[in-house]
Amino acid sequence: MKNVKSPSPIATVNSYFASICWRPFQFQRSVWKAYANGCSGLVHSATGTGKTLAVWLGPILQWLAENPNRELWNPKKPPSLRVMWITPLRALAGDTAAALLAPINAMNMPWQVEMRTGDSKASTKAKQLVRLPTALVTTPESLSLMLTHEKLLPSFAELECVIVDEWHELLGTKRGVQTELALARLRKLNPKIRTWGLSATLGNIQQACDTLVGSNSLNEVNVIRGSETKRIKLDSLIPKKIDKFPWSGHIGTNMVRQVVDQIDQVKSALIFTNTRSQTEIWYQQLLKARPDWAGRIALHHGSLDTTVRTWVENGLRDGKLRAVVCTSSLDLGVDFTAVDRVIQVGSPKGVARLLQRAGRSGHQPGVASQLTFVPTHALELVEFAAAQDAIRQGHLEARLMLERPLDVLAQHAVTIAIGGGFRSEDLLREIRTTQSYRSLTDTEWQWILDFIVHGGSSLSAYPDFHRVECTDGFFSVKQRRTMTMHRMNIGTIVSDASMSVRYLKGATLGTVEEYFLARLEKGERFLFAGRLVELVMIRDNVAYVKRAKGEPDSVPRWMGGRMPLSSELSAALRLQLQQAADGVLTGREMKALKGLFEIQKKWSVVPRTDELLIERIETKTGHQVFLFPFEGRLVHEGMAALFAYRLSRVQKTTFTMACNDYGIVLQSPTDIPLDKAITAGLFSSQNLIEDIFASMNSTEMAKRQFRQIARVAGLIQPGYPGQRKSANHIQASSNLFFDVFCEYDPENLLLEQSRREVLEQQLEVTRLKSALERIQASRLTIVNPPHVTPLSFPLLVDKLRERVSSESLADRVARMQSMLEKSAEQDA
Amino acid sequence: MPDLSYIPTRTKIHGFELEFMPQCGLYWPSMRTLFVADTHFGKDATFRSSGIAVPQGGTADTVASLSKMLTETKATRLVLLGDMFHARSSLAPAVRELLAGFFEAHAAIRFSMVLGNHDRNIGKLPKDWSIEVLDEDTCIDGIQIAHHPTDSDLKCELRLCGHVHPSYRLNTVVESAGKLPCFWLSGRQLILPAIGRFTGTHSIRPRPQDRLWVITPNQVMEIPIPPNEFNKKNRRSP
Repeated sequence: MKNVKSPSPIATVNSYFASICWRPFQFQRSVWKAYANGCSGLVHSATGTGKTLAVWLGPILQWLAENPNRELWNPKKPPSLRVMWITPLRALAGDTAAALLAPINAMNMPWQVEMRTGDSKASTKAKQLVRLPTALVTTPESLSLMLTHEKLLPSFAELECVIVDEWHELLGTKRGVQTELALARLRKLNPKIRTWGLSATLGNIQQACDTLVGSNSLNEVNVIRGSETKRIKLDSLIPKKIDKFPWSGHIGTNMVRQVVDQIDQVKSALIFTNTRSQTEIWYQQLLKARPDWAGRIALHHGSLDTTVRTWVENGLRDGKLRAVVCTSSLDLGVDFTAVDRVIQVGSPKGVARLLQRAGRSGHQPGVASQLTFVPTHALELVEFAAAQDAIRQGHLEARLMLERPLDVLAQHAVTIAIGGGFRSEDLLREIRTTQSYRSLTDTEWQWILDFIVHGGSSLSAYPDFHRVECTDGFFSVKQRRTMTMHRMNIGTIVSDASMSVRYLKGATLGTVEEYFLARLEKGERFLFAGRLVELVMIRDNVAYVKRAKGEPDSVPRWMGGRMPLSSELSAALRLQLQQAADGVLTGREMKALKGLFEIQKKWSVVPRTDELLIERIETKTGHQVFLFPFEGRLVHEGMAALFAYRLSRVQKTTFTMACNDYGIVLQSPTDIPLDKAITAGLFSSQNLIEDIFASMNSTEMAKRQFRQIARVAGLIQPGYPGQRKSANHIQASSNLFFDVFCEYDPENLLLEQSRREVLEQQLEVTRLKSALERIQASRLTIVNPPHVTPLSFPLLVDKLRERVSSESLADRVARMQSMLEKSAEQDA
Repeated sequence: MPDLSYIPTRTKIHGFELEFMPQCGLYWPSMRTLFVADTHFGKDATFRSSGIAVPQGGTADTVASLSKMLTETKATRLVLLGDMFHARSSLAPAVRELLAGFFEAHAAIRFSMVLGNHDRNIGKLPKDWSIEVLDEDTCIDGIQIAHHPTDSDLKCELRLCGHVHPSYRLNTVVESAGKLPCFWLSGRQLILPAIGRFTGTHSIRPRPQDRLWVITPNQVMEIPIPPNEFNKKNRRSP
């Protein structure tokens, strides 16, 4: 046989690019070079710019260089495990594996690419325990699970590279921290392993990279910026008639006609809304406007069944669907090349998010993305104008990191104890190489060990407890039952208590959070998965429904619709208002609001950036004070409770309050002593934490936060939707755990963690503090407008009102009792 | 929990004078009998033995509040409406010791119980605990006792039972007091709240003709049931 010289690795890759009519970008070449030099790194750019190939071809080139002789390539003997590819969503794994296989097949390489996720078949998983493929596509949960199998560890030690896709999605979440810990483990097994990440552009990209590679990496680290060529076209649909008094209640469906016209002009559109319930409503409205679109439009959100979602995704890929109404469930992932327009309904809440969504259209290098914004109330036009400005300035949000969540660490320590066991000092050293736990204290670590071995810090409080055993300083798990329970528990960081919704005949529609179903009566109708269904019965954690006719009684509200305006967007918004105050209205959006601003100026003022606007009005219901810090809803919730508390110390009174992304309203039956309170330090950032905890129902908030903590730390045994609970006698709600800890082990660090998470995540206390500092440096403009102004109106009609009260529960119940009596009498 | 003053709420139900106690007991003064439901003794021990970290203390507190009610009411008889223990593993050494002490301290009191669903698998109880086990739906001086609620006809004027761990989400238009454990009278059946400290509750939806008494730390209060609770818009009748 003639000895043909094989082409060089780079020539092989170039010809692959030629076969798909592309040429490698400069940044892709940089990644390949860095990879060849043994570096780790992070590649960031907008979606659809070729990041996947940039990173994936690194290990391929490496292998081609090591195996130049094609005659020795044997597809029956694929190379052993070399690459681990981590994807944030298991729904993306299939598409990712297909994308990775494309160049492998085109180059006839003998690599085997497989998936291992929660959806994989048990037989596949068992086979993989014997032999892993050359490249494995998996999720953070499945990676953690694999770490419990000691016999996989030698293969992991041979890994050349681990790649984390969509790193920005994981960053700043508990699943991201779980990933960090797993990566630290992989680096411990093989200190030379290369770690690469793919990310959208963020405000803190260097920090994102540091978090990815940890501090035990031996390799040089590169942050590589993807191509800049992504063009984005943004515009907005301006309502024909602008409400002078914007009200957020009607979620913008009066814009349906205009949206339909937009969809008519394009091949395929994605319509993003902010909540799953809005998705259901918009889908119905579009169908109502265009009945002929039945079957050609669809909806997609995280609670729908996988089969439904897959159908929708395939329809998008083939270009068969005209339009899909969706939530952030379609923010991520694979190319929908057919999509040529994105429509954003309602505030995008953040600059990076808007960019990410825009990038879902024109998902090919060199093609422009197009996004059309649909306001759900007039003031959102200001937000959109602000977002456009922030994009021009390159002011993107930073992803906030989670500081050492102990629930995730407890879970990980049990994982390692099952997967071969550990010595305390070794594991501690490894864990401290992650960004999240770099400042983990010895006390905290000791508590974690006590928690997994004894149940808690105080020995006497937890007799007969068994989980992890410690013999001669070596921690391991011997009981099979503990292993099984733990493995079942690992996948539970994300899922909330939910029930599957199923037709009586058997087809599953998706899942709804338990608390929504608990409020429904049999026979009540609700919109779900784009259909009107009626609840028939609830049995074994499944809600059985049948098709219904007529009007819905309700639309499910899923948790998680609480995203506040980001601090970058808030800052940009304040700048827009400042311009409006100066009479400068730039852009169609701002010009459309001319009338609104005129009224605001006539009755009050449009605030500048160095000014805090306070409006005082007396209405039938009492004295109202409106404050406009423009800092996003979570910060405002904390402020409202704080201000109410501080005001009530100046003068005894009861407040009701409401917040939105722009401001706060406090209402009291008596005159509010504002001036006195300001002198007494109403806006002071001193004693902030103490006052917040004194002011609000922080216990209730901590309880909410504790739900996830209890699950991750292994207190709650997961009952998967549809699966019969086999261990009913060891099921308890997280609320019950919370109460029992508060009462009998108040020092438990998991409680402490829930309080910390309330401050950091629910109240954004760092942002709250800097907002107070900004306010203190600002002028206070207090006005008494003759009427409710355009800025305050949405707050006034907001129904979500909380009360700050110092009365005892019995007193409150007694008052409510008499109130109910009264209304009962009136009814009679 | 702090020491609570004993403020019962006295009510006449189907001809019986009864006292609702904030410690989740129901006292029948004329017969000097105290009724409680769902103690779930040793539930925390069961969780611990399965590797779920629950601190102890709940069972001791349940025993203490039971003890206190017996002393304060000067009851001569205690009737337990089922689910005395949570599971077989609930009878841990510490729990046995605690209860032995309880029975010794109240040696003069007659203890009766009906078996609940959780009691079926716990095996034999220690002999020196003198508990008389009665059949479900035994009548004691005109009051029928049981663990499970029923829909069928009743033998007596009043039937007491547990099992449900009822609580009521108390709301008015302007505020919410959260979920409160409650006594729930539905027809001739009165469902008692769970007295066990680590038991959890189940949110109920009473019918307009029912009666409800909610429990706050030191008082039991009757709450009128809003008529709209059940007459939601568009709701079809069952």
